[in-house]
Amino acid sequence: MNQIDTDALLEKIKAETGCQPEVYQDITDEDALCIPVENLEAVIGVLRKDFGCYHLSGITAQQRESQPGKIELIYHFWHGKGVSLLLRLPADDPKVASIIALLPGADFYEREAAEMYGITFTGREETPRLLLPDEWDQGPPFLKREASDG
Amino acid sequence: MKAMRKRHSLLDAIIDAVFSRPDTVAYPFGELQLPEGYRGAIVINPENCTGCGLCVRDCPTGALKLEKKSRDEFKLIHYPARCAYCSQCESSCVRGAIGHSNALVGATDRPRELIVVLKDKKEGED
Amino acid sequence: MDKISIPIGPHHPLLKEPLSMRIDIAGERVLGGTLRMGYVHRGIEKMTAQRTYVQDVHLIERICGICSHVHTTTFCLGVEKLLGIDVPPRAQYIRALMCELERVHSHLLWLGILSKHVGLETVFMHTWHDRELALDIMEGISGGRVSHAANQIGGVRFDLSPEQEVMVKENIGKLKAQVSGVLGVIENEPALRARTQGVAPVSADLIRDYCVVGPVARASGVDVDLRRDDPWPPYDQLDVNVITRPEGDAWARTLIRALETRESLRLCEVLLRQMPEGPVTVRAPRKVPEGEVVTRSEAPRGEVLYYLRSDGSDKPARLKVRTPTLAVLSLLPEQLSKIHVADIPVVLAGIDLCIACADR
Repeated sequence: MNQIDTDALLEKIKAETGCQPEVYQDITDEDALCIPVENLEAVIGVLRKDFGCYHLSGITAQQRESQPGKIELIYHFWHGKGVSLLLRLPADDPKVASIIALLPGADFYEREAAEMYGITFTGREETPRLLLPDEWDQGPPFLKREASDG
Repeated sequence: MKAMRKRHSLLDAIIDAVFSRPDTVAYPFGELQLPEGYRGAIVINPENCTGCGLCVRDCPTGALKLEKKSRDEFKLIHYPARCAYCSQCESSCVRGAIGHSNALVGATDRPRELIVVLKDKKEGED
Repeated sequence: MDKISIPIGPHHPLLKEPLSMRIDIAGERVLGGTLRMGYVHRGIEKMTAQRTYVQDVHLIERICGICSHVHTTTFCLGVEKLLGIDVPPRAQYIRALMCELERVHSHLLWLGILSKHVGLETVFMHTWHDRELALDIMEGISGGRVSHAANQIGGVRFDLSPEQEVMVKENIGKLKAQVSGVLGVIENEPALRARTQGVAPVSADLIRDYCVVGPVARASGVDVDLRRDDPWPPYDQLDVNVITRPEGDAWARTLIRALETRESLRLCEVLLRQMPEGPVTVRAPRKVPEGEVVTRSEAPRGEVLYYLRSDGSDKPARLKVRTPTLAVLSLLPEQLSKIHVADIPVVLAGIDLCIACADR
């Protein structure tokens, strides 16, 4: 499987969306691109159509101490080598477009991120509970609110 | 004919099974053979233990507790019910003072005092 | 025909682990189904952030019983990358040996379960008997049949003595002979073929859309195996034969796992033959420098993904685990929409569910 050439990918994304994604250097041995939230579907389209990269391994949601007030989503793709897309959402209103129309396999990953961090995935039916019990009423368990949280 | 020959592989296996000994042991009447690396009950070598607490710090389940009154007076308590028998304590100890024996552990929720060191006297259990 | 909804689970004789499904049927045809998981959700990802890396290795081993070694290996590989330490080659080989043995025991277990669901109880008993040899090997070298505690950050916990190496080699030889017998039955037994051929075929396009991994993907002709395509040492020095089938039905999934068992046994022999001498562990610092790493491995059920972020302390800042069953389960409602009621156990078994992995 031919690995994706990062420069070619950046060029194609710029051609398709007009934005230049930032290359994020901190993920060891992987190509990681920081993209604006609204360009997610376009970038995934570029990956699929122009590079044949269709495999989404998972979606990680996290909050970084160095980026307060933001929730970060990482879409882990794989094509011979890992390619990650990073998005940063505002923590008080985390919304991002759902990609299950493009990739039905993202369903479970979106549902887990939604219930653990309170992220809203727009453009899909309401995300039902995946892992948490139906009667869980204490809010997203991973979300750090203002007062210190474990 | 070919199907018959292939089918015989299952028949062969069945015939072998009829004439072989059972794999199970009628414990406690049969002899139990434990592998040499079997991780059984936790034991202490009282000569080597100095109460440093490395094992307590690394235990993933909190099954070890150190009560230290002074440098020479401490108690190491092991909770067999919390223990995961992972041997992290054995790996963490730099003096080879704690580890697993071959002894089977019965179900219990009572803590075991492993080593009690008092001034001028060293006593250890097991 | 009226539509009836039958619940399967969370506790059901068909299932080894709790999973709740509602399957809609009309007469003998299955129309579809929905599933609800989370009955074994223990919150492991959150717990890893509250424990040190050394403690987390043991916690992660308990995500799943069948593929415990692969999980700890992937985690340790990530931490070692952030620490910048090199694991000694002998430890890499021992890790790979345990991974392949785990694959053998997992696939044999699965073959037994499928045979039982199909009605071939004898094959179930024989595969589980053969599996005991694999478990005996793992017990002989690690001290435990299921909880091996093999990995630690920096290497493995135990070494193989020359006597143990001889024992492993002998048992693998015995296992190869017995597995060939079972393979002969699986390939030729008409009852098994009748129950699985043509059942719930899945096309390669569907596999790509649903991002399915593992033997289920390879059974539909998608040629991906991380041991060959994204290897960690020593897999980069081994020649892994990746087995694919074009049919995509339950029969292909059965055959793939049976053939992968044989391939894994061959890899075990190669690993034993090529195992280098040397130490089995290096000292690893407790505090991991800041950084992020993504590690992938090929577990018996497919691709395991670990994303680890460290903040410079001795506890992980964030660990994300994506297990293969989670990727494969999303295909289940689609598969259930094309079959008869009698095929439900075959389809469920074909996915090789490991709900403990999926729920974490």
